Amino acid sequence: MRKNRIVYIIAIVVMLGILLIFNKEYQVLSLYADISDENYRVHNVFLDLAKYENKERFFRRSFIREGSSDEMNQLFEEYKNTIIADLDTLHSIVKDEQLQHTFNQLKSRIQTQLNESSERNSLTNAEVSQNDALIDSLLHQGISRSLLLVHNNKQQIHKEILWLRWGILFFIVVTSASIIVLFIGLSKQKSKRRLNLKELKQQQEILASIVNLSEDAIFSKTTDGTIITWNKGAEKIYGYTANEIIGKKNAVLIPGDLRYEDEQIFKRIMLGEQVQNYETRRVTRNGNSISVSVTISPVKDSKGNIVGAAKISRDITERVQLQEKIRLQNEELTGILERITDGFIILDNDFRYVFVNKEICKMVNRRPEDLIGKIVWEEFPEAIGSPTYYTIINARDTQQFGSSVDYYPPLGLWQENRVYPGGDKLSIFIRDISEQKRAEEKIAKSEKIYKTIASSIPGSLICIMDTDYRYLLIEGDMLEGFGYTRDELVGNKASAVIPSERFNEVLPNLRRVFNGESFSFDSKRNNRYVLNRYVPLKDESEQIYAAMIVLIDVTHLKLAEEKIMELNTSLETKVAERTAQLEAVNKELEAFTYSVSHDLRAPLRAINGYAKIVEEDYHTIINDEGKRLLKVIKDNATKMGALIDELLRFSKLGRKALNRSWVNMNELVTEVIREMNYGNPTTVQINIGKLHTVPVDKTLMHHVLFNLISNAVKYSDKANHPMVEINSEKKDSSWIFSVKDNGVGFDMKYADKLFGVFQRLHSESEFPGTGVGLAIVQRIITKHGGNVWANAELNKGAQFYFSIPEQQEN
Amino acid sequence: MQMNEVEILLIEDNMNDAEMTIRSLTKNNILNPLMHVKDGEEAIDFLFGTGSYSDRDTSVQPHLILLDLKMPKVNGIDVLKKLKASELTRKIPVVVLTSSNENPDIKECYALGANSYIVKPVDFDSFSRSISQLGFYWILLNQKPV
Repeated sequence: MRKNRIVYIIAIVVMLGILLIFNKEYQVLSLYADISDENYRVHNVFLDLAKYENKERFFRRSFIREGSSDEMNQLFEEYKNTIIADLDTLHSIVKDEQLQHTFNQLKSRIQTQLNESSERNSLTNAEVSQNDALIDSLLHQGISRSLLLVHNNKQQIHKEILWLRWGILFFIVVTSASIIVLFIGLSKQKSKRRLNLKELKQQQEILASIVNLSEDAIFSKTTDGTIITWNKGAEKIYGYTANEIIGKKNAVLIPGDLRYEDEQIFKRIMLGEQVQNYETRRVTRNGNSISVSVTISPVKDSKGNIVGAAKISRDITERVQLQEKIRLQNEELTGILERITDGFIILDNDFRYVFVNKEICKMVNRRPEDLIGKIVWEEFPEAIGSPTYYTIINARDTQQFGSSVDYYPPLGLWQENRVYPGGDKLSIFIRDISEQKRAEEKIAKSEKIYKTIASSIPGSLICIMDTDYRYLLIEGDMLEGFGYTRDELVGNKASAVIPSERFNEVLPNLRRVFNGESFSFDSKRNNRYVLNRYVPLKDESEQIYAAMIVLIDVTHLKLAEEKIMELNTSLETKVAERTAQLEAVNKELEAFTYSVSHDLRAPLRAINGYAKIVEEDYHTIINDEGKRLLKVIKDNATKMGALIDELLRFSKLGRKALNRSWVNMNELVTEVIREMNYGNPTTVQINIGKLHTVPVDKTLMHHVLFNLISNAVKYSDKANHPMVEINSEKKDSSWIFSVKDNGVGFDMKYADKLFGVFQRLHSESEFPGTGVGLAIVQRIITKHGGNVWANAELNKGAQFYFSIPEQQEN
Repeated sequence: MQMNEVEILLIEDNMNDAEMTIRSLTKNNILNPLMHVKDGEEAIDFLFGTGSYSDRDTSVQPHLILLDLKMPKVNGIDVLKKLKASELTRKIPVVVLTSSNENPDIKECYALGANSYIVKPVDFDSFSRSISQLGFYWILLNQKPV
């Protein structure tokens, strides 16, 4: 195309050049034409001049010879004027120098001649002839000169025309050639275009079939997101047929949460960017989410405006799932390797680190990046020649499993290695057994002691475990009972050798003991009772390095204990039975007491009442002796009533439950004395010391004090200076209260009878009383956990004491 | 004595006690018509017009009941329960007679609505005094609730 354009431009320039030449030629030609015209006119004027010169000459001669007529004069004048006009004309038009020169000569000659002619005959014939001849020659010169000029002009014009003819010919040739070339070019282009369209159509068909055959979804959309093309691959991936989707918005394919992202991408596309292999998610017709890789390109119209976007998306769901799966598997695997409590490394066959887990990094105090890619023996040169070194080399060379226990001095590390060859790699598990080794060393020292202890206690077991729950030592004949041998257990982890449910049973105990707790408990297995004792073993720095577990068969002890328990239980049952019986008896007794008090009192009332009636109704006929006898009957009946009342109270007090509170004994004593004096004030002096406050049942203590104080008053009443003293003191864990009097006292040999019911040491006539008061006192004090006792000397007074012990906190 | 004129009902199985009670009241000029029934069963028959008292007009009831607790057949507590349970007899003041103030029945009697109690002392004088005071109080001073 560009070539064509240049050709066209050149052609146009050439044409313009030619036209310019033509124009110039035209100008030259018209100049020449003008000049020629002028020269021709000059020539004609010269000819005209020559003609009128001749006529003038003729007239002039005739004049001279014949004279003149008017008519002739007129003609002559006419000729003359014409000549002058011609000369003027010539004067104005002659340009040629030579001709001008000729003309000037001619003019002066002619003017001279004309002037002479006018004056007539002034000149001689000879002169006239000479002048005329000169004029003729000049005329001739002018005519021939102008003719030559015309001829020259003509020749020049011819020459120019010849040029022009060639130019036109060239022009025609060039134009024809251009037209031919253009025509050829156009026809060529047309056929080419026709050919291109065909190819294009074919190509488009091929493309369409490629597009349709593509497994990828290929579709396009307009700037507003409307889908306008849709291939088979898209139908397959998204589930929409072309008919269903074309005209719909692209948004139906985008998951809700990715709409914004899609808009952003579309904005970039609209700016002319291309997005390639962008991995994202899409929604299919049936709502499934799929992973796709999308390439989006802007579609431009012929002017370069972006009118839409073409999208190629590939369903990579499976790939993504697979990748995810692989990733998870990798993670899991790495996780497993990282979680291994042992150190774990993978080496290639050149002993370069391929993988190291955290544990081993911790063990050797290096970072993974310090090790990966390095050669083991360069990093840990001290290991060369060690058992581990040979084990690893041997494992690689023989492709057989190998293990070693080794001490690596630079790190102070006891390690147990297990090497698993696997083709081009070696997997090595490394366990730090330093703790175990150290514990073993410690245990070894005391092993004999443990053995001795274990063997000295029949049916026992001593077991020592390290912090990994590994048996370091196990001794004692109980082991047989468990069905294990020493060798099966020692050196192994408990979790590995005993059943898991059994291990889970003891695990809490192991945790406790390794937390530093010492404890023991009983357990029962196979009808044997075992005392389990867990003791943490600590080193010099109080670090627990092991635990001692002692099991002792205590079946015989346990059986004895059980027997005791059984006896206790039966005893308790018996006690409960007895208590129930006793309660029943008590109840019966109570009922009996009431019935007695009621039933005994009724006849007494009758005796008393009827004696009274007799006294009242028959006092006139009964003599004094009879009246005395009636009074005796009445008194005795009354006394018996009093006895029954006391007895009743005594029995009641015995049954009453204690209701303890802190009682201020000074206040209580004062209250008792006030009550005692009520209606019958005593003359006895009563001294009250500072008394303790004690935890007692206030009502019952009231009875006690009432009885003791009234007794003291009663028995000292007859002394010269009757005096009663009340005091208290704290002795050991008891408060001791005393009531002393200076009354009649009593003989100490009867002291044991003092507190018996109805026991009296004095006659009724001497000191009235029922003999129940002190019995009640004793009963109440005993209930309080205390004691009552008395000291006395006949006629020297008596001292009564009671103690209230401190309450035992339950 | 007309049964419907009875103002004091004495319920007492012990004839001696009954005689002494009646004597005490009379001696102290409490001469209101008194009816003595021998046991609880008879008391209930009397109060509710049943049994041998079926012809009695039960709308007229005594103004005071003296009730012994310990009686054969129907005892005092049972009589009290019946009395207080019936609208007919609920408002009659009841004084309980007992041999001992240690008797746990006394509490129950109060709970059942007895108005007072008297211990029958062995000493006849004090017994007589208590009875007469009680009679005065309930018969003379206490207005029968209408």
